[in-house]
Amino acid sequence: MNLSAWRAALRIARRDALRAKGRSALIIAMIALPVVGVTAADVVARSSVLTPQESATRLMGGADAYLSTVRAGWRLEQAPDPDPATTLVLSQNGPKPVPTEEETTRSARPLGQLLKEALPAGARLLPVESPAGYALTSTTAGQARVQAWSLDLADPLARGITTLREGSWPDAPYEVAATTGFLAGSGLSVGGSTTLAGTHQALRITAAVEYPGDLKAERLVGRPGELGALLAAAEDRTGLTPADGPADFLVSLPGGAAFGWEDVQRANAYGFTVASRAVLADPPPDNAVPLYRDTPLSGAAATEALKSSTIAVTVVGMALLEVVLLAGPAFAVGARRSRRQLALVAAGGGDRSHIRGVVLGGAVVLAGTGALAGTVLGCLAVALGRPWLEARSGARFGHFALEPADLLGVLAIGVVTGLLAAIVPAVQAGRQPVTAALTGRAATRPPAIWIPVAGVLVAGAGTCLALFGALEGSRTRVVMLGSVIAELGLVACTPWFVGLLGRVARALPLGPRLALRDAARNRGRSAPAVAAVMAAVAGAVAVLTFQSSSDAADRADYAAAAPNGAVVLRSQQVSPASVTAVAPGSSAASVAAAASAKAAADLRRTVDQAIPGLGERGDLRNLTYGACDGRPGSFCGTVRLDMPAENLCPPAAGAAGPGGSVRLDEAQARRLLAEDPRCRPSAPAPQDVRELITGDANVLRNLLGVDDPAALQALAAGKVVVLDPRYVKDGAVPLQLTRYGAEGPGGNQLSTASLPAVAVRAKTPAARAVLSPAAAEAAGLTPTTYESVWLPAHAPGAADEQRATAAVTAHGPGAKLSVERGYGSTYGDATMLGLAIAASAVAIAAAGIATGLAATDSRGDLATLAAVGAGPGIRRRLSGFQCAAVAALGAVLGALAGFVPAAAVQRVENLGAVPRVDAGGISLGTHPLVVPWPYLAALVAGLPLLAWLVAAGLTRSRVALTRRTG
Amino acid sequence: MTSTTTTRKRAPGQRAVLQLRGLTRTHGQGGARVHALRGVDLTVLPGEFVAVMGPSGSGKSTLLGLAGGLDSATSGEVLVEGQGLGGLSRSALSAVRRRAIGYVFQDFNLIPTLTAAENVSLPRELDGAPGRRTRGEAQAALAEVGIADLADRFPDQLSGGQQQRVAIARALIGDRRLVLADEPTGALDSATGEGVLTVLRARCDAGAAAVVVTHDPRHAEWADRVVLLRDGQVVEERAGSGGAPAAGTGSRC
Repeated sequence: MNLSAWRAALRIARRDALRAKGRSALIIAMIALPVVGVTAADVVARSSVLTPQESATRLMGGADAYLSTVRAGWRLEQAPDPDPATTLVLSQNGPKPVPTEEETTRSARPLGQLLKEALPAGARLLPVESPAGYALTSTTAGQARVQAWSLDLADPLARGITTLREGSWPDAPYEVAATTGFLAGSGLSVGGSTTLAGTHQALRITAAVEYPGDLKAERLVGRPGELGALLAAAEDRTGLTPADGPADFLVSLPGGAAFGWEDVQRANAYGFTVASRAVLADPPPDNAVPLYRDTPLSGAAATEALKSSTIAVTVVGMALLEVVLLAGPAFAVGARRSRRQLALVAAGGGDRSHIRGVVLGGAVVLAGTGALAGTVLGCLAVALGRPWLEARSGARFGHFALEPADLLGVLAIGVVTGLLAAIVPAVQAGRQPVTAALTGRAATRPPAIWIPVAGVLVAGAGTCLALFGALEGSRTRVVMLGSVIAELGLVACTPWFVGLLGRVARALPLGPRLALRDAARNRGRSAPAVAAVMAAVAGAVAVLTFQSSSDAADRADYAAAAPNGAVVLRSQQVSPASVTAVAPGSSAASVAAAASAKAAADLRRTVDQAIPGLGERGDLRNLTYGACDGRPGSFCGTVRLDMPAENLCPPAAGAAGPGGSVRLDEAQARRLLAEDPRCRPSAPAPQDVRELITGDANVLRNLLGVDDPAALQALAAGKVVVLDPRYVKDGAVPLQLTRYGAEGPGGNQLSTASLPAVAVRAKTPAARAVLSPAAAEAAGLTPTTYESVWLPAHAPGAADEQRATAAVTAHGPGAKLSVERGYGSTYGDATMLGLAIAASAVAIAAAGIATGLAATDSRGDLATLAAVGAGPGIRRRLSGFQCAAVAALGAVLGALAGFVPAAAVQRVENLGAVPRVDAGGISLGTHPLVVPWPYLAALVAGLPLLAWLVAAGLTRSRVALTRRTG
Repeated sequence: MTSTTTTRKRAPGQRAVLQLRGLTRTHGQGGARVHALRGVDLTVLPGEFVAVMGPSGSGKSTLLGLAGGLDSATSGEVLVEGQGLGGLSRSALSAVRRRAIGYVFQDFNLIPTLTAAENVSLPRELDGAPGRRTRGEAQAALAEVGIADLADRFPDQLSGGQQQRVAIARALIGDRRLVLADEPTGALDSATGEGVLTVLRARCDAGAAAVVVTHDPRHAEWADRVVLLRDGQVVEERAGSGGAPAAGTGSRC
């Protein structure tokens, strides 16, 4: 086609687009929506990437460099952009971990002198204290955690590190700046004051600031030397380690000199890393970086980037496929409705390429409009939503970045998407016999048989690739590639499936028969719609299946620490070493024991007061072997239940040590599970299962869920209640006692003991064995940590829990309150529901588009039906069935297609698992594929029903009865 | 208006299949007002073949639309099998069309997605008759119009004449005995058209009534009665020959 022919085609297309406004708007919207998304994502991504200047300013403000002390005096090697994780201290983690003599002498010299030697002459230093830990500080409501940093924000060198939002820089003693993140969470504001826990000095907040790269930071920034000193003084009471003076500095060189790579390396020789503005802007070549010579770069980051870009490309690709599938039928119907006009073009001397040109011209006009609108809207959306986006990501944009090349690319993708959607309709329109089109006789051609055959082959190949190609190498990409290929194969098969439906329609009642036959005869519009439904449902089914499988695996692995709703309080233990004053006649150990008991009693009372209605309390103590309190003759040790060898699952007997496990191959593991009663699937155990505890009936009930008179009798009789019968042999439980350091340093003395025991089944195996306090004392075991367990009728509410936790925390560190709430899914039902709803929306949209197009197509048939005597509801019913037919076929195919990626990913996850056996039993390590039946049923059965209702509800029942027939 | 002409099979006192009384229909408002029909009376008895003729715009198609309940009259009355259509709801009108009236259009208007047999049984299916019975009825109706062997073909696999025979079979399936045909031969060559009229004539001879709009005088010769419309009024009513026209004017198919 020559240029003027294209011009004519575009003119016709433009007029057509204006004539069929509804359809045009629909296509434009379909093209524009993904373009908006991609454009916005691109602009956000580009804007979030900082220039070297911008990232340097966030780190060092107006200074030339940021210096950190890693190991004063020791040589090290750093990357041009220093990263603590990769920094190599040569004499520590290098080949020879011995400091040189020079390093030894240097490390003994004061920091100030080292700095002077390490830095160019005349360098000005501004100290920065940025300890990583958190302290507690007072708020309007109570206490909140906060990072206590120090830096003279008023100094010009610090400008740009933070942004002043309100107030003025601190300039008097004990004035601080607070981050907006901290102020929002604590309820404090500029002008208020706060006191760090353990100190008495009120800190006046004079400024609200934000770190542009870390908007969520909860931080107080004080003047140099103030906050660190306060916390250091309070160290004993808060348990925080104070910073050893400032270790980081902003460095400014005189006369605008740049901090070059040689200067950085010199500072490295003294144990400092330096992030230099000049080096960041113009990094040295890799061969000039000693670190890169000495440690080969790991490819992990590159792989991760590749993985996420693969996912992004796949998601965008599938979205565009959806658009092609949704817009295709609209173009097909457009071509059909203007069949007569196209035939006139042909009659007037146009050949097939001209006809194709007119249809494709329509695509260019509509897709161009849609893509342009989408790009502009995408940029606008980011510009308008910038504050929200920044707050969400937790960092300010470096600048608002519009990359012309990117935007043109997105624009082109939009136009190409539209063109792709119009190709099949254009080719079909070109093939239309002119006379048939002019006389209005429809010519339907049977579909070429090679298309579905090729589709089945492609689908099979993709499935194989996803399921079995995933054995090695970059798995995610192979799974995704295979799944996408399989889906494309199914898309190619949909016309055949639709045709098949038309053939089975014979036996159906009139409404569905008409709908299915109509779909089969008009594959041009029904097949893409079915494919679109399929793609949406397949995506949802894949994610839902994978999520429900992961959820089931997590649920299976979850171990409750107590019965559901139980409240567990662990008290702090006062160490005899911390006892400073001892009254005459008593020992530090007895003072500590009394203090521990008092603290436990106080805490119990606190909880009982904070949460009313907790019910009966069970008090327990953990048992150990040896008092370990520093008194003469005391020793430290442990006690452990010793499973008799004959009760162990045989391979576990070969395990190295009590906690050890043995690898099994899967067949062996399954055979043992099936045949040997001693080998059972290992139940998930709580992370800190108690070995041996003292307790009473309340403990048995509240902690272990045991309500068995036999257990109470056993306790009363001084026997041990054991919660795994395999530990009991001949009515007794063997114990293994370990005494640390009994035979010189490093040597442990092992001995065994045996106590009469009864085995009882526990609902929650939070302890291995229980005995009465008296029996424990008789057995020579030492009670240690105090714990209490309540089992209220209902788990306490979140507010009660918070209040109680605050009250417990107020008693000091070491005490811990927890409420067992059972397994909480991290894959919230809301997410899964949202996904199902989104997929349903796309599916209904696709089916609806196909139905709307079918309705405009079959106006004549409806009039005939009315003339023959169909009631007023026929149009509505027909629309309903047409919509339901598309939705049903698409949903069924989609459910099938969605299993491929889910099964493949699950398979990949299971590949790494190795069955193991230990004293607890056998764990296979694999997790089954769990089918989310309710969602699947909702999609496969509910979608057609919903489609029927929507289409029937939105269709006007009125049919134009009269028509000129002459 | 003259009284109806007596025909061969007409017995006195027989109930009319279709009665039009003082039928008027105006389209549009004010200056754009068009009087399509101005007081038409017509009675059609069982077994009668009535041809309605007239120039373009004389109101032929409007008359057919009103008679079939597709359109409603501005004034006057339409009675089908003695029942007035005036006060009926839309669904009741549909039921009348299913059970009492059959339409035949110039361009056949078969549903392209249904086979010949399914098109014929369509009114019965819409009426809720069981599938097996309607299939038998459709087969019989197709046999009556001479195309029993084409039952499973789709409309686009049939010739024009065959399609029109399917349409006639559809118009007469069940208990219906009123066929309203609007230029049924208009899209057919003359030989095929003759064949279609032969079928219609045969159905009338078997007891049905037909009102056929045509502008071909040769086709009117098939009628028992010819009604001439002009400007929405019946200007002439005469007896037709009630059978095939004289040799030479057309050939039988």
